[in-house]
Amino acid sequence: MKQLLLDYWYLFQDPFIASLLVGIILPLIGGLLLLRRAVFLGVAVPQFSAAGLAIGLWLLPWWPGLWQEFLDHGHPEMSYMFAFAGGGAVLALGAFSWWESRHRGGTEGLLAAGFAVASAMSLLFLSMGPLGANLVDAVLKGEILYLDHHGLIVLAVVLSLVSVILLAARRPILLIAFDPDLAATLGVPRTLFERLLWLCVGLSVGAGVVTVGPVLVFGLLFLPPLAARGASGSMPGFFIRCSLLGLIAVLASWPLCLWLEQPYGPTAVLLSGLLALCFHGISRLNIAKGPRY
Amino acid sequence: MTLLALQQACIGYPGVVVLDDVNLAVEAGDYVGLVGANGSGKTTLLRTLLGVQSLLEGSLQRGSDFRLGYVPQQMNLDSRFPLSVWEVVHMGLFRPGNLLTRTPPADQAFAESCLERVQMAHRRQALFHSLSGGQKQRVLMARALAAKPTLLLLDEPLAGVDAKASEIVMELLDEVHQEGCAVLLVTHNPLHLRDRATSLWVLRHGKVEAASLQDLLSPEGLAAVLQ
Repeated sequence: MKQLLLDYWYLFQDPFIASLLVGIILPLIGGLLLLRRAVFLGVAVPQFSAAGLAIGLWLLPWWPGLWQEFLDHGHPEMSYMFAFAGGGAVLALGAFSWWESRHRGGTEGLLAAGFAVASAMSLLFLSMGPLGANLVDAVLKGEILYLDHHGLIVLAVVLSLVSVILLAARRPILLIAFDPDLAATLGVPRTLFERLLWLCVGLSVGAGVVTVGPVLVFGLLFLPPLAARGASGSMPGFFIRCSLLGLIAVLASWPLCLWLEQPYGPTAVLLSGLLALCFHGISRLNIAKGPRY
Repeated sequence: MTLLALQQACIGYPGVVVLDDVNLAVEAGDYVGLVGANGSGKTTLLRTLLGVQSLLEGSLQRGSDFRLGYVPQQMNLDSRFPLSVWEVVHMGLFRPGNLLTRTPPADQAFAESCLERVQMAHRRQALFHSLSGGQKQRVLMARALAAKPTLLLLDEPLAGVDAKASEIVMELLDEVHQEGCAVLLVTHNPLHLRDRATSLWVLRHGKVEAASLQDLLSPEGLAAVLQ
């Protein structure tokens, strides 16, 4: 048994560490988006990131050095893919927040239209691109077993940076989300912190999409926070529950996906959904039994 | 001493004028009532005074010793936000200079005393959204007081609050005013201003007019404001 575990560790240590990172950090970012009432934005942005990645893969033969590297190693340079995926996410966030600042309402419709267009672009550019179907499938299905050390480094650097920034700026971001009028009254620079949040979300989603795939990014952004919100009595409690649920989901998915021989991303998302459902049910029971004031 | 003054102000949104030629001032120690029917522009004027919304024309001046405490309508806040009572009160201590650092213990102790003052210290760990309307309003008052305001601005603080809780909120407001803090109270109900307000502003037909409480409480006055 010990030897088996060591073999698995040797084979999958990079994807395993990557799954822990996304399991802990993406639910925190999703929690902020949920409280900011920007869930729709969080759903559309990974799709734009995937579209950016698809365009990057389509353009790959235009860069002779990178194309040669792909031919030698079977996958493009991670930083190249991240630039396109992150760029797609940040551009989409910038466009949506620009729209939101100039128009009252109508953002949901625009997000739905954007989601449809981005999905079509992803499929179209991947279909037109020169890369093998296996790589494309692996990236989009969230088959993180293929993740290499460079991918892990990109993910770790981006998520660590984003975590530090969001931890430092959590108070103004939460104040703006809860009571924007008070934030303005106190002189909190709303635009600055909103842009900072969007930049962090864009970078995290971009790094997540190129390494663990859009399916896992979608799932971890929102399933744990949705379950945690109803059961939390304070902000630290909410964020701890978000991360804990994400962490349990990514850990428990490993034996499951290896046993079922299915892609890791969808397995983790389904498990995360089940966990969220159970957690939500237990929380409702506790509330029903709890004290009345 | 003037705390806040609007001069020849035109208030509204780009392309939509809500209030025109607004001239008003709040002096230290004032208790101002702001009354108007739904859609008369109360919220727009309030957001302009808060600095949330820009003026279309004119100027907004603030005095040198101006510190604003703001009590929003509790119904306007996201009821699903998992904030404890203490976390809400703590927001009153935020300043642009201390957003990224820890709040000094002395400020925290002051916020704690504000919570005690509104008699909500025993619920400091409770979820804000689990409180009743009156309790929420008291917590929001504590948050506003934590900012050590010279002007307290309240947006319909008695909306969705029962009669007994309304009485507690108004008594608290009287205390704060007696201690020297100016008050600007936005309300639907002019009766709340009886024996309190030192001046009254009525929003009517796109203008802000000064009025006396006597006129306002007459049947004609009430009908004119609330129609």
